[in-house]
Formats: sequence, C-alpha cells, structure tokens
Amino acid sequence: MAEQHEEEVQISCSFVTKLPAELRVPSAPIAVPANLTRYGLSQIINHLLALDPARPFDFLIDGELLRLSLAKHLLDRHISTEAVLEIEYVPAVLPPTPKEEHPHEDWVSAIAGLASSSGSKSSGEEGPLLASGSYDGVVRLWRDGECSCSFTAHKGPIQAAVAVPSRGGEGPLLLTAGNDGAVRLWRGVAAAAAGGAAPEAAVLLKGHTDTVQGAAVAPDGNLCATGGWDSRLLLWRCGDAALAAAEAAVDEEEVEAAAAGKKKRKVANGLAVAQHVEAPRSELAGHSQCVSGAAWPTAGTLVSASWDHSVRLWDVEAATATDTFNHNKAVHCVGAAPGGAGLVAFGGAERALRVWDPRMRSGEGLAVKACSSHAGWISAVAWHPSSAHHVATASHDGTAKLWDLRTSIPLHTLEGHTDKVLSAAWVAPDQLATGGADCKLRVAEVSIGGQ
Amino acid sequence: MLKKKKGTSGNAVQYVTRNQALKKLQLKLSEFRRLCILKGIHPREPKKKPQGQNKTYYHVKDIAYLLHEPLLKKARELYAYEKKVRRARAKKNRDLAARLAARKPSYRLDHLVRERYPSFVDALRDLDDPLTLVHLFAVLPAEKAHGIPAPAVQLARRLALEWQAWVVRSHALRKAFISVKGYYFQAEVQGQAVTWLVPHATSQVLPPDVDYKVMLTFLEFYSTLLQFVNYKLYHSLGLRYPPVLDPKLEQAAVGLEALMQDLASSGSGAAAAAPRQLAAAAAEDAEEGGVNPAAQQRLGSLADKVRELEEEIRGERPRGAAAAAADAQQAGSEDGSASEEEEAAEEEGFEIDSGDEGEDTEEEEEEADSGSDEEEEQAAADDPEDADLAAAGAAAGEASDDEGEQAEEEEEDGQQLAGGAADVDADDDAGVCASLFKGLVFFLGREVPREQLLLIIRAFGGEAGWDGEGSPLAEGDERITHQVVDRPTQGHRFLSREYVQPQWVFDSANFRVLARPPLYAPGKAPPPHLSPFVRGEEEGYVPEYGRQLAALQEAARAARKRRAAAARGGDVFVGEEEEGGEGGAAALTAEEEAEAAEARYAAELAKELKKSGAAAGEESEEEEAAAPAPKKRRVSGEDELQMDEQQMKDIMMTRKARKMYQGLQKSRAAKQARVAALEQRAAALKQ
Repeated sequence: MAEQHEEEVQISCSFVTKLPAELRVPSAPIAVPANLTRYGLSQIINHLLALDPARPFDFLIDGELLRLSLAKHLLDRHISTEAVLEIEYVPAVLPPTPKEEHPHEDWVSAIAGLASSSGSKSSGEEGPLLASGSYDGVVRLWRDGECSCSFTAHKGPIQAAVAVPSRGGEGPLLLTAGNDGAVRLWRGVAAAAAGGAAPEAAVLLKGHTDTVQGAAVAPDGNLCATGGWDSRLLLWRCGDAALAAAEAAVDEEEVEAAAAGKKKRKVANGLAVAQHVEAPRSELAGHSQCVSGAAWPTAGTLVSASWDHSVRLWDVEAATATDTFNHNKAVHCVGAAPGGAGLVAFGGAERALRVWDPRMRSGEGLAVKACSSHAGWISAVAWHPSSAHHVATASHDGTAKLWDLRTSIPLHTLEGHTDKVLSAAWVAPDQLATGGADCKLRVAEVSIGGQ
Repeated sequence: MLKKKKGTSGNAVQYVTRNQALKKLQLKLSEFRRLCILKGIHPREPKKKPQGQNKTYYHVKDIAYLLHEPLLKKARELYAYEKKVRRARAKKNRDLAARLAARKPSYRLDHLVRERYPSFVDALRDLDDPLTLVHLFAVLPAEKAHGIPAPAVQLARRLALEWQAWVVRSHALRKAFISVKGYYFQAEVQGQAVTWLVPHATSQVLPPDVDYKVMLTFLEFYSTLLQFVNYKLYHSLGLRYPPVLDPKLEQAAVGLEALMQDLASSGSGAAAAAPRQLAAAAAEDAEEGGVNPAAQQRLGSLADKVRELEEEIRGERPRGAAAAAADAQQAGSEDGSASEEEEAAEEEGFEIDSGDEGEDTEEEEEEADSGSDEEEEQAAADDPEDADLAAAGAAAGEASDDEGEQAEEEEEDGQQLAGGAADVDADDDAGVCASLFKGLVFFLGREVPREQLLLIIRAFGGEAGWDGEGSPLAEGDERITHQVVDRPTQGHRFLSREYVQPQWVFDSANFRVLARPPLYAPGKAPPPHLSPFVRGEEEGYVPEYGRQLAALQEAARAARKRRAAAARGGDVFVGEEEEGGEGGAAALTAEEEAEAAEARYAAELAKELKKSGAAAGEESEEEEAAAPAPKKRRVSGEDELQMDEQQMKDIMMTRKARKMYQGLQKSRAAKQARVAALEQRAAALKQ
C-alpha cells in the first residue's frame, strides 16, 4: 500500500445487491475514498438512486458487515485494496420501535409466538398471537394489545413456552413446561384467543422429575425435546401425532365411562387434568447437569445446552451426540439458525454471545466467535424465524440486543426493562417480544425484511 | 493399670517398612515401586526407626491410601494375563497366544491426575518436572536394550511440540538461557512461571547405570498430566485439541512448523465467507438489465457527492479518526505496522542497513501520540497489536514536523532498540514480549539450533525461515532482516540484513531489547551470555555487559514512555490540532472501543434517518492532569544520634537475637566480599 495521505487512497468498488431493480446501482467499478465508512457509502448509494427520504444501507464485504472505515476493514482482513472490491449492499435494519407493554403479576419467563394458519384467520388483518408464561403459572394470550385469554397452565412458575405447528384446523398448539416437572400440550389456543373457551391440555408429557428448563419443537412439529434440572434431555412425540393419540385415548375413556356409567372427569385442583399422559420417546444421555435449552437446526439434528458447560449436537434418529463444544461457563440458552444454515448461538453465565459453526472441521481453530456487548449474563437467545443472520438476545443487564452475526457489534439495543430480561421471542418476522423480572412484557417492531 | 506394651503406639504404629507394605498390598516390589511413583507416595524418615536403621519406612496412612487404588486390580489382572501368555507359549499353543495378545488389559491414569491435581493451578505449579522429562524423552533414542518403547518417545515428542506450539501462540515465553545441560526456558502460564530444560540436540548416549524403568513410569504419568494441561490450555485459546499435525512436514522433521500450518486459516471467523462473484454479478446485470436506469446517469454527479463526504470526514477528522481507531481496536487487527503507514503524514529518510526496521521506525515517529496508556485488563494486554492501532488512531495532524532534530535522533535510537514493541506500554511485560520481534524476519542457517530458535523467535512475535525442507522462506527472500549464523566466516553477505550469532536472539529476548548486532557478528567472540534467572540486585554484582544491556533497556523503556506521554497530550510534541480526544482514544480498552463503535453506528444511522447535522459523538475526554512530582522527604539525621541509637539497640537485644543479627551481618559481608572480588577480577581482566 502506498504511503500517501489517507484521504488520497481510493478503492474501486463495485456495488451489487439482491434488491429489486429499482434499487440496483450499475455494477461498474466506482472509485471511493478509502476512509469512507458505512455512512459515506450509504450516502453514495442514496445519491445514485436519488432516494428521498434517504434510506440507510448496510454493506457486506466478503460476507462481513462494514463497521469501520473501508481502509481499516480491508486492512484487518488482509484484503488487497488494489483489486476491484465487490460490495453487496442490503437495507440497514432500522432501530426497533417499541409497540406494546403489558404488565403481569409476576416475572415473565416464557414467550411464544403462535402463527395463525390461514384457515382460522377471520376477515381483516389481525396481529400475531402471543402467549406469555410467567412465574405465577398462568399463560396469557395476547392479540392486538389485549389479553384475550388467560389460564393456569402449571402449579409453579412456567419456564418454557413453545408454539407447535399443526396441520389440523385448530391452529397451532402450545407447549408449556414449568417447575412442576410437567410438560403440557394445549389445543384450542387460537379459538380461545378469538373469545372461545380456555384451551384444554391435550397431552401431559410426563417424564421429568425436576423443573423443566428448556423446550424446543422440531420444525415439522412432530418431535419436541425438553431438558430440565434432572440433567435429562428427553424426546417426545408431539404435534399432530400426539393429538391423534390423545383423541384415541379420549374415545376409549368415553366408551369405558359409558359402559360403567361413571360421571365425566371433573376439573381437579383448578387445573384441567390432561386427557392423555405420554411417556418420552427416547432419552439423549450425555449431560451431567441441568439441561437449560435446546434448539433444532434441522429436522434430524438437535442442539442442547447445559450447565455442565457443554453444548452438544445430537443426531435424533441415532440418539447419539455427534459433536460437543466444551465451554468454560454454564450455558443458559441456545438457538439455531433456521433453514439448516448450521450456525448455533448460545449464551450463558458470561457477557458474550457465542456463535459456533459446528460444520467447520478444517483448521485447528474451533469456529466460535464471541459477540460482546451486554453488561450482564445472557438469559435468552431468539433466532429470527426466517433470516439466518439475525439473532436477538436478552440479558440480565435489562436490555435485549438485536445482532447481525456478520459483525461483532450489535445492531440495536432495546432498553425499557428495568430489571433482568428473562425471555425473548419472535412472535412474527417483524415483531420481537421480551419479558423480564420487572413483570413486563414488551413488544417491539423490527423490520428485517429482504435479507 | 495395664502396662504399655512395646510396639503399640507412636512411630511403631505409624510407620511400616517396605516389606510389610508389600505383604499388606500383596504386590511385587516392581509393581509397588511403580504404584508409589504414580500415586506420589514417598518413604519417610521417622526420628525413631522401630524396625532398624537399614529399612525404608512408609507412613501407614499412605499404604492404606494405596489400598483403595483401582490400579491394584489392573496390576493383578496384568499379572494373571502374563501368566496365561507364558503358559500358552510354553505349551506351544500359538493360536491361544495370538488370541490372548488381542486381550491385553489396558489402564488409564486419568483418575490419578485428577486426584493429585484437583485444580488446574496445582497442575501448573508442578509442571516443571513433567515438562523437562517429556522434553528429554522426546530427544532420546527408543532403544530396546534399555527398554524405552518407541510409542512413548513419539508421544513425548508430540506433547513437547504441542506445548511449544501453545507457548508460541500465546506468546508466553519470558526467559531463555543456554547452558551446558541444555536450553532453559521459562514461560508464564496464567500467572505461574513454568521452567523447563530442553537437552542439546546431540546424539544421546544412554548411560547404563540409570534406572530406565523408574523414568519410564514417571514419563507415563507425566505424559498423561501434560495431555490434560495441553487440552485445557488449547481450549482456553479456542483451539482444537489434539492439533492437526501436517504429516509431510513432520516427515521433514521441521517440528513446530508441522503443528502450526493452519495459523493463517484458523484466523478466519465463524461466518462463512461468501465467494466473490464479480463476474457473475456483472453477468447477472447484463442478463436481467435490472439496474435502476437513473442510477447510471447519476454516476457523473457522484464525484461531487464524494467530495462532500470527504469534507465532512475531514471536518470531524480529529474525532473521526479517533473513533475510527476505536473501531479498529474493537475489530482487533493482526498487523499494526501497515495501518501506521496509512496514518503517516510524510515519509522520512530510510535507513539503509535494515529494511523493515527502518520502515517501522519512521512510521512510529510520524504518529506522535501513538503510545497507549494501557489497560490493566489482560484481554487488551494479550493483544499488543490492538495497542498499536489504538495509538495509531489519534494521529490526525502529524506533529512530527514539530519535533526537533535531536529529539528525533534520540527517539529513533530508542525506537530501534524497542524493536516491534515500541508502542507497548513500558510496564506491560507480556505485551512487550509478544511484539518484540514483530516485523523482523529471521533466516536460520544450517548449523544453528533450529527448534529452539524457532520457539524463541516466534514466541516473541517474529517470523523465521531456515535452510532446508518445509521452510516458509528461501535464503534469498528480500523480507529477511536478520540471518542467524554460527560459522567462523560468512561468505556471501546480503546488505539488507544483519548477520548475528544465535546468542543475539537469546540475549535480546531476555532483556526485551534488540541488542547491538555488531557485538554478535559471526566469527567474533560474543559477549558473555547472562542468565535471566539470576537477578543482579540479589547477587549484588552486575557484570559489565549486563550494565550495558540494562542501559539499552532503559533507553527502550524511555522511548516507550515518551510515546505514552505524548499520547496523553501532556507533552510538547503534541501539535495544536490534536485535542484531548486523542488522549481519550488512547486510553480506551477493547470493550470501550466496542461500545464506541456501537454508539457511532447508532449515531450514524440516526443521522441518516434524521439528516441532522452534528452527530452525537463521544465527548473528548479531559486530559489527564500531570501528576505532581512527589515531594522528597529530607531525611535529617545526625551521625552521633544514629550511633547512639544503634548502641542502644545492640544492648537491648537478647543473646539469641544478637547471634542471629551477627550471622546476618556476616553473610552480608561475605556477599559484599564476593562482589568486590568479582569486580577486582573484572578490572584486572580489562587491563
């Protein structure tokens, strides 16, 4: 590199994009001063496209977002400034706007977004359906800023709530797990949110002997994995298959009851007794301490995180661990990229979010990146439902941060909670909900589209 | 009252002889010895020996401890197995013997390591002996005559290489010394100093009166311990363990290189790099024709827009550059010197004799405020290259023009001495060590001890190539700044490099300063090789060469301090354009820089969205007030008063205290006499 004034160094860049034609700039190389940052390049694109109002853009060089000046970025990565540099630009993620805030009676520890299937949508656009579980054992269903239904799901605090996709006409099912060691599958949630009766527990998944800390449902909805404080990671049949079994059980019971002339089962303890009790399909043994989280990178692989400092990848069919990452801090939560992209993000008893690529086998370095920005431990990781690059994390420092994994600096910080944030979830591709120890559930709108 | 029987209490009950222990454990003597070595049990010397003077005594509790050892069971299984094999062979039952060979019972020593070293720091404290033994066996020939098995030697060699690779990666080496026994090295691992000895690479003659079985038992245990330690250390660096060994290079016996081949590739991040699709994109464009048509026309007016942007940047350059430096800090770069080039305002004259060093020097001069007042955090200290950049950041208006000529020369000297570590804070030993040879490229001749020199050069941040297979550099490579030779005459000489003897590398590394190469020219008797393990202050005597090197050290440290002071803005070198912002930037830690980068990104985004003029940047931090020099206390003491006091103290002492005090004084006087004698001899030699 020639030793000149920094201002004089120019780099020829060619801008490419996947955006539609009206936002595409000619890809002929343009000489750009090397000390420009993202802002400068964004101004150039805006000028070329004559956009009014100006739209901010983000720039990717070799798959990494530009966060320093061009010259420094290229220098750090040993990319030559002599050749024409190909820069891809994408619309920048705008700061999220807080949308709703709902107070609860106790800590909000589990949030799930229930995507309504087209069948059950009534006329007119409705917002997404949100289920929030809190430490008083009650699950509340929210839609359009109102609590349409609330029901007691567990005897103690609820630790996990996940939506189970279902092909049936009733809409998605809800899986909840809590301190009482029980995992319940609820049906009729969409109807309850629309004003009908409270959802009923279709299946009780019984197998854990201690608090169930994390639950995750396979992308196709037929399997779910739960982990708890008894150090066990259990696989269950769930979704439509479990519903069918529950119905079969109910039919049998009715036949029996009719034959014996007994009365129908009453509600006991203020808690609806589940119609059908299921045992775990299999157990994945390997963790020696609390299994705190699980996620499904693809339909046949499961990743689990545990307080024994390890994150394990499992092959579900063979029920064996294919890979293990041994960390040195307890891991609290884990998330996996959708669509089989392969990246795994986990956070634990440290301030950095770790991103691991288990597929990288070559070289001697373990492909783990640390993204540090939080000031407290990370309590939840929520991967965007469709984008493989965007992750939201919740932390004990009272903030939730939105990350693009192509750089180590977070995109945005969502402040607003006054105490630890315990859970975060994407209720829709453009809405992020967070709940914390200040007993509040906050929803923010984030637009990521197009990346 | 019952009479006390003999042999029922006291030492008689607490100590057993070796044969009693053997009977209790039902072991053979060789097995017992092995077990004691593995468990760390040693015989004791009781004051009263109940069974006689010529017996070896063990504590009863030690033997009871041995009773619970699962290896006892394995020992018995092995014995039974061997009996079977012997019987099969004696009965000429080859089939059975072959089948038995596949069923040999095996054992592991992991539980012993965990028992003896409950925490990692315990293992580090005891790492000296294991490392030395493993390095010794790595060099020994695997002779069947003495019973040294080849797999043990190979394992020892692999472990030694892994350890050295870790030391190089983490820049943990602190001291190195050549002695008759071999090369002594000391590294700092998580605060513990670990010292080991590597024998010379001559062919080893195995003396017949050494008990190799005992040594092999120690080796077995120490190999397991070292594997545990290596695993933990590699994972603390985020590397895979066991590391991948490049088989071709290992064949070429290049040692360390084979293990570190993937250095370049492991630097890439976790995110997969998208392949460049320049041609593809252009083709796509042509195919779809989907470019915004207006954009093409606006290309012409782009130049004005770019000029606007540049002016904006120039307008906020003092803050912008500092923040940009903050960014660079956060990104954590590998190579500091190239970025310094960018910040440089003007070049100055080259020095002819050394290529890279000269370049380094002039760039370092040009950014006046580049010293980094460093962070106490270990994270930043481990990456001195970050420090370089943090410092480099603030170099907006170059103050080099303001410097006087003389000051420049002095600084130049200091910079040269400081080598690649000129930007590191003077008090940060780890940072200085990691970047001392940065920018220097060495070429090792055939006759020099290659592995040890490679270890030192790389651990201190330099690059090295050698004459032979697998070397990354050829002899004629123009990047080479130093050539290490050990022959009496050197034929062809390149002008752009220094020719030095191997001792130069050791001395420079020990004193953290680049010693003067002319003293180590080939063919010349080098200056005395001073041991870094002996501290001059303790001995009271510092040899003359030591004093010279200490002076060089001081010059280098002064240069570093000057740069740090200039960065803080409290010096005359700082120009007017630079504000306290630079001082603030220099004081940022890695975390703070990440936060600054985040804040800047958010600010820029907000600016774009709201099109507001002034972006909210970080405020320039106040300059640190120069600490007032501490007042010196004037000690007022009259001699007489002191003598009186002394006499009174003497009288008031007890006899015991007085004897101790006299002994102390005598030893001190003896030490001073020794020092005086040494100095006399040195003076006599000089004449």
